[in-house]
Amino acid sequence: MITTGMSDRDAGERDTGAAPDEAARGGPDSPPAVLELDHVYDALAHPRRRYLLYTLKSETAWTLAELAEKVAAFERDLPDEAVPSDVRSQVYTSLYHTHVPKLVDLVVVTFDPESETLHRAAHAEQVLAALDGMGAALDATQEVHARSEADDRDR
Amino acid sequence: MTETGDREREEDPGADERGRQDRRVVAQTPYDPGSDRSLTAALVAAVAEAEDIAPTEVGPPALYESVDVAAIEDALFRVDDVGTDDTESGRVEFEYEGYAVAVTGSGWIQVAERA
Repeated sequence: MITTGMSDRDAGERDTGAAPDEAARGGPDSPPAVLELDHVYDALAHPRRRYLLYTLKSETAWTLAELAEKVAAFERDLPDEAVPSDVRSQVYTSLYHTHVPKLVDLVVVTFDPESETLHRAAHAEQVLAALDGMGAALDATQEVHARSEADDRDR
Repeated sequence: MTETGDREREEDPGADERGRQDRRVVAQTPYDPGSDRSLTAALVAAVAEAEDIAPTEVGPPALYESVDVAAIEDALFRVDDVGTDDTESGRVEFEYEGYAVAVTGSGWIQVAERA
């Protein structure tokens, strides 16, 4: 994965070299802290997981049924009680079969299959912080965009 | 086998052409990538139909243990940068809960059991 900017010769040397971790520890092209963020990007890669994680910010424990209702309402911009039951069931299914196991794999949540309850896990803090950061960055971009439009009008 | 599955099988010209005589399709449902219903939800609904239970009663195990649904979505239904979808002919098959579950690029999900 860390081959960006590397020639084939360099890569070959690394394969046979005595210090296979050198590239990961090494220069400015491959700061380990950034490479270790894979689980953050992975967790946030799907819009439904972002809604789920937003929801997770307000409480530390959720039953899957509650979470499905919140996420469905959030996605459709509806009050919780206005979510049709077939939609709630589809969101529940998609969380249970795909998104929750993914987040368990990434150590962002734990899931107890008996009580169908989710709790935050070790990486949750970092992922939620990144989610906040993205929001802030997008807001900033929109401000810049709005300013440049205002500038255009001034001309 | 559900009656619905049986009837739909007769309407599907593809099933026999593929020469899968050792298989019996027990549920079949269309999947529309543009709809609100995710591929995961559509797959689970098809398995639920095969088992004659509610979708929320399917599993454990989760589908996630058998297949990467996002990868299927990408392989079969991703629309490229110029907005064309040239993957109509694709087909992905996997095992789940003892069934052979197939998804086609033309937008069909089939759940089959060994005859």
